[in-house]
Amino acid sequence: MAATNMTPKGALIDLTKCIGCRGCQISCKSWNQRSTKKTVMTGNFTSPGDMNSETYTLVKFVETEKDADVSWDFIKVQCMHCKDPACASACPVGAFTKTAAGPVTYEPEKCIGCRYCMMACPFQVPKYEWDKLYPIVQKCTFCAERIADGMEPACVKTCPPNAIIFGDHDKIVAEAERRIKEHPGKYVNHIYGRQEAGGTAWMYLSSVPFEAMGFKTNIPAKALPDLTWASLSKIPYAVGGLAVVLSAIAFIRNRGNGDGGPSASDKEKEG
Amino acid sequence: MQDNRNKVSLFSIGSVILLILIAAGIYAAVNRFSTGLGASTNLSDEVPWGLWVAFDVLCGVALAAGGFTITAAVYIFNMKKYKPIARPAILTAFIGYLMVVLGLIVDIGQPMRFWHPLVMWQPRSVMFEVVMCISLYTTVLALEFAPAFLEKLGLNALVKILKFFTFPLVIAGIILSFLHQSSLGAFFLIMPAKLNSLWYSPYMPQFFYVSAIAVGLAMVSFEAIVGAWAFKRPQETELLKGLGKGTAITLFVYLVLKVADLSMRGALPLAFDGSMASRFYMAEIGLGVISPMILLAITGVRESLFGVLGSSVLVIGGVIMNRFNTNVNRVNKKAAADLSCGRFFPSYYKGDEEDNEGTRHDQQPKQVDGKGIGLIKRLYVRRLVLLPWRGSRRSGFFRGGRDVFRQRRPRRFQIIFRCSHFSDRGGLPPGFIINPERSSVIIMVMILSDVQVPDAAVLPARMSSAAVGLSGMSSSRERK
Ligand code: SF4
Ligand code: SF4
Ligand code: SF4
Repeated sequence: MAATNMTPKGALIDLTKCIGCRGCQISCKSWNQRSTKKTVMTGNFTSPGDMNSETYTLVKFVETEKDADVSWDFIKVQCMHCKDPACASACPVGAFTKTAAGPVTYEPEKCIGCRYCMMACPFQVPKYEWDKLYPIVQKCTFCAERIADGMEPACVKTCPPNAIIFGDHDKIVAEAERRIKEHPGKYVNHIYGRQEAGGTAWMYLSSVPFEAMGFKTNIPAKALPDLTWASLSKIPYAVGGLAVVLSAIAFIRNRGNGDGGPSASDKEKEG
Repeated sequence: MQDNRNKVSLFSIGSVILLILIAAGIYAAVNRFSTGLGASTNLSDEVPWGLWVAFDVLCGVALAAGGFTITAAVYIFNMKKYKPIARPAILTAFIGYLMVVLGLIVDIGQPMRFWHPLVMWQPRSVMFEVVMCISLYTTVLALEFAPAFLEKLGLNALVKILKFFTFPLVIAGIILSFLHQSSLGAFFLIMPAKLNSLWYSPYMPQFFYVSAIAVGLAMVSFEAIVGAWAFKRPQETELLKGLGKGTAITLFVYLVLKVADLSMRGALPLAFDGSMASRFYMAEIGLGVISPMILLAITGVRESLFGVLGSSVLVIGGVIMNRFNTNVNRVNKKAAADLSCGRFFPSYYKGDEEDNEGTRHDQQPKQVDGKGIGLIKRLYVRRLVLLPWRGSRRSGFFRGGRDVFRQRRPRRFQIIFRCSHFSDRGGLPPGFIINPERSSVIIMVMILSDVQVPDAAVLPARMSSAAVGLSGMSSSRERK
């Protein structure tokens, strides 16, 4: 895996530059040796309809109306590679790991297939092999091996108009901020992924409000694992406290009778 | 109690119902292991958790809460009068937990790895905690119930040892129950953006715990009444009175907590806004919490067998509704809006307007509606001015397209149709044809997605697909 001292990487998708060629989608399939799934015609250019266990990344075609004009946008979606991933904290066996270089990687041989990661991920990213008898989860890998070898992910490499840029996370953020600043009026003043779910490695710039394009905008700006940890971290105290209180109550209430416990036969009570 | 060892006929109505249920369960399990999880459960990426999690795990664990509430009452609080029902309560809890474990094994994708969480610790995961607690608690329940077996076998030495550990076992059981009953609520804490805010609350663990106590008591009453009927035992009216009182008090606490939480989060108006979610919420609270609470507060109801039975059924139904609303309906309801039309059971939440706003990029694409067609038309007019545009008058140039889309009514203007099912062989996807106008402009976009590797097979396939498109075009020209 990646050297541990590797700086965290990030990627930025500038939706104003994307031409909807789906090169990223294809190169992802080639690199990750993903197969296909039967699709159904649904009347939309997005194909397949959503990411699935064979499609780690996907270009979605969205039409929106902007100033009485039509805006047709192409949104490449994939795992966001959160800084503090909900999927990793949810997994009972630790199949997901956030690596120092940025990718959230997955060890299929650990997975028990409980699907809690799918429920937990705010971006609905992990997908399941529903057609298999013993399915596991699949999701974008951020081409972790390529990054470890000093290369960019396959999709980034492919993108003809350089709509995706890849590099050290802080430099990418700086570049996104620069673009917003130097082109006033071009972009909405928001880097999607900068705050969402506590920050993600993948980020988006757009000229159309993210909400209108169907990005989830109700995701809290803090790391989601903290929400469950708030409850889980109290367990040791709960256990200790309950043990003391219950023993005390039991001692006080049961003083002076030799009770047999739940295992005692009920003879004395029978009549 | 001496006649509780009556032989039960295998062919009484109760047994037959149970046998049918067992057969159905076995069929479902066989189905799952022969056709796969997706085909047997209708779960999908949009709806990852369904009936097995909502009913077997969430409800199953809650309904088995009678075990720890009764042992707590009897052994910790020394309420001796409940002792006769302690053992049945422990037994039903034990069976309930066994069912939860079995259900989980069928539901997870990798049943042979069910032991992984016990070895590969991941303490930040709620699922890990629940699995640990459920395994430990099932063991505790087995140990608590073991003396009944061992006595029969005459192994009195073992019974003595177990009895010595009664209190530690009871206390461990209560703690473990507290932990995982509330953790089932903590499952959902990590999904603030997915749950409906009527159900999402930072206090979900507490709600799950309190409601588990209420439903545990209700379940014990229910079992006591039905069991007494089945085994022709005298009814334990005194006990039922006490249980009813306990249930009413717990429900009251639950209601106060719920209302306080809703108003603190400012979500109270949501409960009354008339949306589908609010109706579900009202039904859950009204039928499952408020009505049994009021009923059980009346002494007459608590003294009547049917009163207690009816109220218990209401409480049980209420908790089941709550767990379903939290998991299946509401999570997936949200997900249904965010991702695709929820095709999972049940379909009654379809047509709920509240979530139908806007196009979402993570939405399963729908047939382009009138508005979308308008947008694309304008896209043509404004952007592709070079193309001649004379407007369209009738549905698309390829009438067959209608059937391919399974459209209910013909579109005035056919934009897209499918050339053929190439994705099966070689992975070539459908072709898309845009025909904004009857004869002049035809733009064919070959969608390249889902092509696995460009190989020799693709080119002929692509060409034939183009041919289909062109022939469609010419045939429509001829018709004209
Ligand atoms: S986007 Fe989802 S799957 Fe990807 S790292 Fe974040 S939580 Fe995990
Ligand atoms: S499905 Fe697999 S990867 Fe996802 S949470 Fe469960 S064990 Fe972990
Ligand atoms: S390769 Fe680049 S331009 Fe092409 S669809 Fe992907 S992101 Fe857009």
